[in-house]
Formats: sequence, structure tokens, C-alpha cells
Amino acid sequence: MDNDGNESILDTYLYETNTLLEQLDNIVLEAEQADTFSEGNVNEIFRIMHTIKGASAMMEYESLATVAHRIEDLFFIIREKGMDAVPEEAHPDLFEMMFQSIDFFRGEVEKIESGQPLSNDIDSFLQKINSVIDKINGTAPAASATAAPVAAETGNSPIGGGFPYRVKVFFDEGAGMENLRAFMLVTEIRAMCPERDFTFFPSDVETNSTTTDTILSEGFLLAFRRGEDREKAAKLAAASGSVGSYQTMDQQEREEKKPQRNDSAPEEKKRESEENVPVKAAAAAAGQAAPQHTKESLISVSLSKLNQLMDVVGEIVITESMVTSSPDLKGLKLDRFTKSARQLRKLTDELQDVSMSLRMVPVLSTFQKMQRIVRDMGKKLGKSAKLTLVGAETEMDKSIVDSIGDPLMHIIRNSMDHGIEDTEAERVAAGKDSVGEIILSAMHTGEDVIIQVKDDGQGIDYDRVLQKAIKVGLANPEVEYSRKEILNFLLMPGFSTNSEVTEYSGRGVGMDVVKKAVEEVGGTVTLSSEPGRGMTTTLKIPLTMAIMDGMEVQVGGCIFTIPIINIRQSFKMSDTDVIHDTSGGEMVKIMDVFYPVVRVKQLYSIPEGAEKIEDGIVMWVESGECSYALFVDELIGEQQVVVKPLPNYINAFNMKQHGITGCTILGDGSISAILDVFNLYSAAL
Amino acid sequence: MELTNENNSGVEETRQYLIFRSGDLKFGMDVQYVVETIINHPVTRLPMLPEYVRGVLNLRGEVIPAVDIRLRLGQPAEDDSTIIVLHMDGVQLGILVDGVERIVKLTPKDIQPMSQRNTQKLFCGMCALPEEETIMMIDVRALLENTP
Repeated sequence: MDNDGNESILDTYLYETNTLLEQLDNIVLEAEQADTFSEGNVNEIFRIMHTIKGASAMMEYESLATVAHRIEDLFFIIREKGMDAVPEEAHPDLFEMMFQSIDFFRGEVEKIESGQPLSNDIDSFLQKINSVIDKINGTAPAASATAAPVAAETGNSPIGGGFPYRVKVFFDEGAGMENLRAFMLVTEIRAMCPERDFTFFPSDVETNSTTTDTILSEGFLLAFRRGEDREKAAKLAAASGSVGSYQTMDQQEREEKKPQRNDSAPEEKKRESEENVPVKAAAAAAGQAAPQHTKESLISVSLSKLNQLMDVVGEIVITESMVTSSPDLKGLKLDRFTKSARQLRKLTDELQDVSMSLRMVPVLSTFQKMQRIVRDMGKKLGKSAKLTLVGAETEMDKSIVDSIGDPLMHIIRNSMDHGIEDTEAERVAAGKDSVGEIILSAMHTGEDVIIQVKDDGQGIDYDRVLQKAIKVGLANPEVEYSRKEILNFLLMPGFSTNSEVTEYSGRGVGMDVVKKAVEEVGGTVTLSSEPGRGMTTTLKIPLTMAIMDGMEVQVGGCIFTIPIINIRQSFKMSDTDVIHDTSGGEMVKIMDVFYPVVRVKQLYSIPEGAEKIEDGIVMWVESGECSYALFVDELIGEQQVVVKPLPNYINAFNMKQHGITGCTILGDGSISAILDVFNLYSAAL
Repeated sequence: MELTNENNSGVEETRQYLIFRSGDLKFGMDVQYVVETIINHPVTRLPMLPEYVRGVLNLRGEVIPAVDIRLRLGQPAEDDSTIIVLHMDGVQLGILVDGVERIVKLTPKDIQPMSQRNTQKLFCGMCALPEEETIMMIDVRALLENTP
């Protein structure tokens, strides 16, 4: 299934299966909360399993198809008998089994994605599913003998219950010694199927040659517990030289499902329709998946095409700027041209907005994945906690939504592992609800999206953190650290307050990796914590990094771009307005508040440039909580720029730490470095 | 670009090398990594970089770092109006040189390895051409990866 032509089929399969698994996760989570599967749930699950079964069969992923088939069978039973048929004690098993199945599917799909072979060992799964089915039916599948007429081909059932998958083998006419041939077949089967999982009739073919008569008249009956063993046996029979024909049939299973039907015909039809299903199901897969959403007309577009579109739009913005501010036009009076240029500008702005919005998706899907984590961890750690989602419909660029998934997972794991108290008693004693709560929220603030993970657990033990920081050499025992500084230690590499490594956290790999991942998409991470009350992790991510409004400024011979949103105001001041603080740093007073002054010329050791304050401009800039005055030579003008990352070669010199976060190509082809107001200040300190 | 210095042992693998001049030394690098040579192209200075990184230049919309090869080798800087643009594994780099001379064909036999005592990782060999020309062969990968 890996030929070039089939790659897009594979992509579709992976995409659809993953989407269905996500839906399944949500349904089962919801059902678990309610401790029952509603009729709607059952139908949906049935439909999803049916689709996965069909599509997997078409792609020849037998193991997936088989497991999906069993679950489909299970839910068929639940649908027919109603959820009440499932005994209360079996509920947790049912839910647990569903989750495990979902994980199994996910695991296999990941293997497909990375080109690894799939596991054929699905027996444990089928056993689990079978055992749940058994519980629903009360006992082992021998129970209902009422539907006897259903035993289609051969009215008699010489083999008891427990071996529903059967093959009846007929040998070639005149082959001779049929009993021994039957025995040889049994020997072959024994090689691949454990004794207890199959049986046969007549059972004394090895020793009793009179069984030949039975075999000739009624065929040799093999019965298996498991469907896949039956399939293997059928293949063996087919490959055997003396076998003339064989029939496969299922016993009793069908009885369970259709207590009403009394004739064999529907059974046959069902089997046939099962076989035909793979083809139809795959075709219908796309159609069946769609009705999940509201009736919007949707189309799925490959991300690479969207990236391409974004690149071209970016280039158009630059080129439009190059045309309209071309030096050739300097000084000319061009009224109609200017009018058209303005029109063009408006249109490119709109084009830019729309193409940007194409990549915006709600964070909902990523947030919902966290539900599973909270549930699974809660069970494993024996803590009860619930996850509340706020603002999940907030939209962000798809690539960013994808990349915050892992960091969020880690933060939530931390909250579950370290944050939420170990016992409900502790929580109640602290005056909290016995069930812990983690609030995961997303919110727009103009240019950024703020994502917060807030737990109401124990909060950070500042002393313990400081001790650990000193121990790993990140902190100096002599120095007194503020709470904020202590929190910063958590974000450094190699830090962890767990003396042992649990499965989930404590490897000391955590928060700094989160920080790095968030910074890679241009965001920042801040922590805050109230001992005993809980901890909040805040991610601030710019909505879009690609195109932004900037102010070009000149310092010495260099041109820099400062994002407009970081500029509050610009002033003309003089040397007399500058006040010096105790350590020799400069400050100016803006609106009755003093702000430190950062001289770009000094910070970057630029040879030329204004020295006296009156020869330059003071810009009041701000980023987050950081607010200060930046001294430059002059303001050149406002410009919409396309942010280009610095070449890696240059980035290796830690430019970001010095406040240079990227560069852009100006209208005249020259390059301007883009300043990061926040980092620049840290560099200046 | 005249092709000179053809070798007699044509059986071995001959590769083409671009010879360029910088200071009073000559250097060679495998042509497969050379994209183009440009002259008088403005380079924008960026602060907080080592001296040998002159800044960046705009090549048809791509921002490429510009490195002064002389300063990189610890020599004083001089006339630098020519830039050779290199490309390897998706990474581009421009190096400032005095001038480009010619392309020669060489076989591995013609290139002697550097002596054991050599600490300059940027060189991967030396070559002696007729008329007492000594060419230092540049290891382009080392140049682009720029690990200190």
C-alpha cells in the first residue's frame, strides 16, 4: 500500500482515522462521566468502528479491522439489548477497555505513519472485548440455545459452545484415508493455534478409521475460539493438496445478535454484506465522517499549500511596498498613481488578512486532548481532578496550535503530579473542594493569545525549589532570591524537585523544554504561584509572527525595526531631562513616572550615532511588564514588514538574547534588524 | 574562466575548484558548493557579532550572512568588493574575498592533506600548482557549520 499512487489514499486514511479516534475519545470520556453510553453514543461508536473496520480492511490492516469488528459487535449487542444489559460492575471495565482500544488504534496508526510493521498480537484485546461481551450476555456464549434454527448449513452442532468460528473441510473425492488427512490438518493447525483454542469433530481421527465415513458425508469440522485462527486454518486447508472444498461459518454469535430471526438466510446475507462492506465502507468513509460537523461546507487543504500561499502573500507585501515607495518616483507629483497605490495597498492588506485567517484553527482540539491526560493520570495517581476548558473556541495559527500541544501536556502533567494534593483529605482540610480543578483557558488580547493553566493545588514550595536550585548549582546560597527569581529556576535546564523520576515528570527535562518550545513560536512563559492555593502557568503567544507593523528607526548607520505595538510614545528631550540613578544608569520622567533609558548605540557598540539626547529621539517602549525608554537617532517611518528569521549561522551567536529577533527586507532592498523590546531590555541590564 | 592545469592521470575522479584570492593567499573550494559570485553588493552590518561576520546581504529576497574570509582566518581585512555565495544542504553563506581567479580541475592526488600540526579546521588540504602557486583548499562544510 505504499506505491506512489496510493500515498494520497494512505494520507486520507490516516487523517480520517485520527479524526475518528479523537471523536471517539471525547464520546467515551463523556460517557464515562455519565457512567453510561447514551443511545446517541452507542450509535456513533458503532458507526465509527464500522468505518474504521472497513477502511482498515481496504488498506489491508487486518489487525485493526479485526479489533474494530469486535468492538462493533460489542456495540451492536449493546444497541440491541440496551445499556441496561451491561451489569453495573462491568461498566468500569467497559470504559477502560474502550480507552485501551483507542490507545491501541492510536499506537498502530503511529506505526503506520512511521512505516513500522503493525503488531499482530491482538489476542489480548480480543480477549478483553470478548470478556466484556460475555459479561453482558451473562455467561459464556453457550447460553441462548433458543435460536437453534440459525445454525445454518448443518443443523446439528456436535461441538459445544465456546468455539464459534468454524470451518468444515471436504476432501477430494477418492483422496482416500480421509481421517488421516484430517489428522494431518489438525497437526498443522496445532502448530499455529494453542490446543485450548480450537477443537474438531470427529475428535478421534488419528486412531479411528471409521471416522472417514463421517468426514465423507458431513465433512471434517474444525471450530475455533478466535476468528483469526479460523482464517489461518482456512488458508491452511486451502493450501492443502487433498482438500476439495471448505466452508466457513459462525455459530452462536449470530444467535446472540438476532434472537428474532429464525431462518438462515439473513445470516448468510449478513456475512455477505460483511464481506462487501470493506469496499463500500471505505468509499462511504469520507461521507460518513462528514456529518459529524455542522452542515458547513468544508474542504481540507494541505498545509504545504497554505504555507506556499503565505509566502507568496508575504512577498507581495514587500514588493508592493517596493513599487509604491520606489526611489524612481521620489519627488514626482503623481495624483492618480497615488490614488491607485492606496487602492492597491488596501487590497493587499485584505489579501493578507484573509490568507492569514486560513491558517487559524480553534485551540479546541488540542485542549480536548488534555482531558484524556487528566483522566488517565488521575486514575494512575489515585487523585481526582477535573479539567475545565475556557475559551477553547479561540483561534490560532494551526502550526502554533500543533506546537503547543506537547508543552501544555507537560504543564498539565506537572499540575497533576506535583500540584494537586495526594489525598482528598488534604484538600478538604485546606478548605478546598475534594476534586481538584485545573482550568485551561485561551484568550485573545489584540496581538497575542494568552493560554493559561491554573491549578488549585498545593502551589510551589519556594524553599524546596531554592534548595534544589542551590544543589544543582543554579543558585548561589549567599544570595537572597525573590519569589519571581525562584520561579525562574524552574524554567532552567536540568531542574527538578522530584528526587525520583516518575513516569510522568521529574526527569528535569520539563519546564525548560516547554519554555524553548513556546519561545520557538515567538511566545513567552511566566509562572506564578501562591503556596497552598495553586499555581498558574501563562503562555503568551503572538497571533502571527509573519507580517507586522513596524517603525523604522536609525542609529548610527544601522536601521532597526521596532514593532509598532510595543511603542507607546516618542519624545524629543534634552540632556537636562536625564536623571542618573545610584549605579550610574540613566532615567527619564514620562508622565510622572521614571523609566530607565537604554541607548541603542551603546548597547550595540555602534560607532556613529547621536550622543546628546537632544540630537536624537526618546521612544517609550513596552512589552508585557517591561517598560522603558529607548534612545535612537531618528524615526524614519512606519512600515509594514515581513519578518524573516535570521540565518542560522547568525542565530548561533545568540542574537535573540541581545534583542534582535529577526530581520526584514525594506522597500529599497536594504535589510533592517527587528528588535525585540523585551529581550533588548534584558540584554541591557 | 580558462581551464588550465589539466592532469595526465585522467582516470581518477577530477573535480573542479574555484580559486580565489584574499590578502596574499590563494584559496580553492569545490565548485559544487558555489552558487554565484557577486560584486559590489551592499552588506548590512548587524551588531553584536564577531568581527569576521560582516553582516547580512539581500540576495533576491533571501537574507544571507556575509563572512570576511580573511578575518575568519585571523588576517587583516582588505579590499572586499567580491562576494562568493556558497550553498550546502540548504544553508547559504556569502564570503567576502579580494577577487576570483579561475577554475581548475584537480584529482585527489593533487591535493596534499594538511600537516598533523595544523589547527586551522577550515582547511582540508593544500595544492601546489605550476609556477609556484600554492592553493589552500577550504573545507566548505567546516566553514558553513562554523563550530568554534
